[in-house]
Amino acid sequence: MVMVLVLVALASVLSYALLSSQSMMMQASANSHRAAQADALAESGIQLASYYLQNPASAPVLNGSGFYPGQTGVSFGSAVDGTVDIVVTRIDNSTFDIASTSHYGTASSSPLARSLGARASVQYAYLPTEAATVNGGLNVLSNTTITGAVRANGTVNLSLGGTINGTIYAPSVTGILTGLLGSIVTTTTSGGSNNPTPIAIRDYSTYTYNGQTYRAKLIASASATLGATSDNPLGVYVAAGDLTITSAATINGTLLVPNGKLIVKSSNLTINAATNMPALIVKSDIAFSGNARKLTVNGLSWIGGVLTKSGTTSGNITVFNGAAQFASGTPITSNYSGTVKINYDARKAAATGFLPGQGTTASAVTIKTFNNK
Amino acid sequence: MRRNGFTLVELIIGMVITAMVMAAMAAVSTAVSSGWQQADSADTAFVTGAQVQTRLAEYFRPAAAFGAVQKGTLGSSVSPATLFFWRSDQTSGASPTGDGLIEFNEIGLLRYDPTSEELRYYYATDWNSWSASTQATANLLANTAYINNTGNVANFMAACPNYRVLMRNVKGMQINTVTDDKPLLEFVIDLEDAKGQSSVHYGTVTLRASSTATN
Repeated sequence: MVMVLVLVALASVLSYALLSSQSMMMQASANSHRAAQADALAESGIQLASYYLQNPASAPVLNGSGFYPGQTGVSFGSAVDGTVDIVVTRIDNSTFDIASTSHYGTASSSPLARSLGARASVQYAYLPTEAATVNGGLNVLSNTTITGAVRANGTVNLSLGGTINGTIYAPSVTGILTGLLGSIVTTTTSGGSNNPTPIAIRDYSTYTYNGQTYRAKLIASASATLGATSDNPLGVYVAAGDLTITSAATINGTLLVPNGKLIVKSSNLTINAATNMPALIVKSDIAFSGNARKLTVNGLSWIGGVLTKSGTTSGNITVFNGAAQFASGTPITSNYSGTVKINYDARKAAATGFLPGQGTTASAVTIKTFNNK
Repeated sequence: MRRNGFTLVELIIGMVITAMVMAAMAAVSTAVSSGWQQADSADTAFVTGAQVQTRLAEYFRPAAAFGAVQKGTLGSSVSPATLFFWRSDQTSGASPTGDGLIEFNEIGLLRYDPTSEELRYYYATDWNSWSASTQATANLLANTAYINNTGNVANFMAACPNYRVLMRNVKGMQINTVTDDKPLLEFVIDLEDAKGQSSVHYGTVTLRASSTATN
C-alpha cells in the first residue's frame, strides 16, 4: 500500500514537472510569436502613415496643414489582433517624423506594446490643372482640339473648326465661339511672374532615382525603342543641340532638347513618360518636316517655342496626352499644317521637381531613418 | 487448516507481473522523456532563432548601406564573417534628413570572433568623449571607400575597442549581402545552447532606410 502511494506520488510529481516545463516552453514560444507580431504591427503603422503622407486624399483624417497627423487605435481588420497608435509630426515642409506604437493582443491577454519610429521625406510633384497653358495669346486653329482647361495671359482666339472642351482662363476670348464647349473666366493676369507657364523649370539631365543620381543619355537621333537601362533607369534622353528624328521611334521615358529644336521627320514618334516624370522638354520649337508626320506625347510637355514647320510639310498630327505648356505666345502657328490634340490627363501630367522647390502633389515618400525605440 | 500468506508460485507470478509493469512504465517514461527533450530542443531552437532574428534586426533594419563583406563559413575559423556598414545617416536641425555623408561615428562593424565564439558589434561607442580634433581626423577617413575596404577592419577595431557582444556561444557564422533596390543581409548562425546542443539559424534583415552616401 505504501509502495503504491509512493509510486503514485512520484508519478504525479514527474507529470507536474513535465507539464509545467512544457507550459513554460509554450509560453516562451507564444511570447516570441507575439513579439514578432507586435513588431510587424508597429511597422505596418509606419507604412500606413507613409502611404497617407503620399496619398492625403485617401487619409481618413487630415489636420489643418493638410497632412495625416496619425490616429490612435488603428485596426487592420478583424483578422489582425491588436491596434496601432500613429503620430505624425512635421519637421519641415517635406520632412515628417512617424511614431508607431502597436498593442498586440487583447486586454485579457496583456497586450504587448512595441514602438518604432521613422523620419520620412516626402517628394512633391508639380501637377498642372490645365490641358494647355500659354505665356501669351493662343490661336486655336481649325483641326485643333483641346480637352481640358486652357490658361493664357493673352487673347485666346478660336477659329472655325477649333474646339476647346473646358474652361478658358484668359484676359479675353475672341473668334468663333461655337467651338467652345466650356466656359470663359476672364482674368486680368499679364506677363512676368503671372505667366501661366513656368519659365524656369528643373534641369532633368541629372536625376535621382532610389537614392542614386543618374545622368540622361546623350542622343543624336532615335529609332525603334529607347527606354530604361540600368544606368538610366527612368529612360531620360538628352540632345546636345537640335534633334532631328527621322525614323519611327518610341521613347519610354523623357526626351530633353534643352538647347535647340525638335525636328520631327518621323511617321510616328511616341514618348511615354515614366510616372511623375515629364515627357518632353524642348527649349525652342517643335518643327515638322515632310508629310504626315506624327508626334504623340504621353505626359507633361514643356515647349519653349512653337509648333511650326521646317521646310515643306502637311498632314501632321500632334497629340499631347497629359498637359502641354508653352512658354511662348501663339504656339500653334499657321506654318503648322495638320491637327493638334491636347487632352488633359492628371495621371500623366505630374512631374516631380518640375518647378524647383515647389510641388502640389506628393509623388514619393522615402524613409530616411528608421528607429527601434 | 487455512494458512496465511502466498505460495512460492504465487509470489513468483506476482513478481513477474510487477516486473513487467515496471518495465512497461520504464519504457513509457523513457519515451515520454525523450519526446519531451526533443520538444524542448525544438522549442528552444525556435525561441533562439526568433531572438537571433530580433537581435540582428535591431541593428540592421535602421542601417543605411552595406560596405565590405567577408562571408565566413560555418565550419572554418579562417576569414570569419565580417561586415562593415553605414549604421544610419544621423539627422540634425541643419540636416533634418541627414547630410548624406558617412561620418566615423556612423560606421559599424559586425565581426564574428571564432576564438571567443562571440558575435561582436564595433562602433565608436564613446564618440562624444573624443576630442574635436580626433573626431575631425576620424571623419576625414570615413567615406564609402573606407567601409568598402576589408583592409580597414583591423584599424577600425583598434579605434573602437569597446565592442558590444551581440551573441555568445556562436560556433560559426556565414553572411551575405544583397545590394539591389532593397538591400538585405542574409545570415546563417550556428549556436550552442546551455546543454551543448547546436542549432543552425537562418534569417534575413532588410534595410528600411537604405541610402547612398555622397562621400
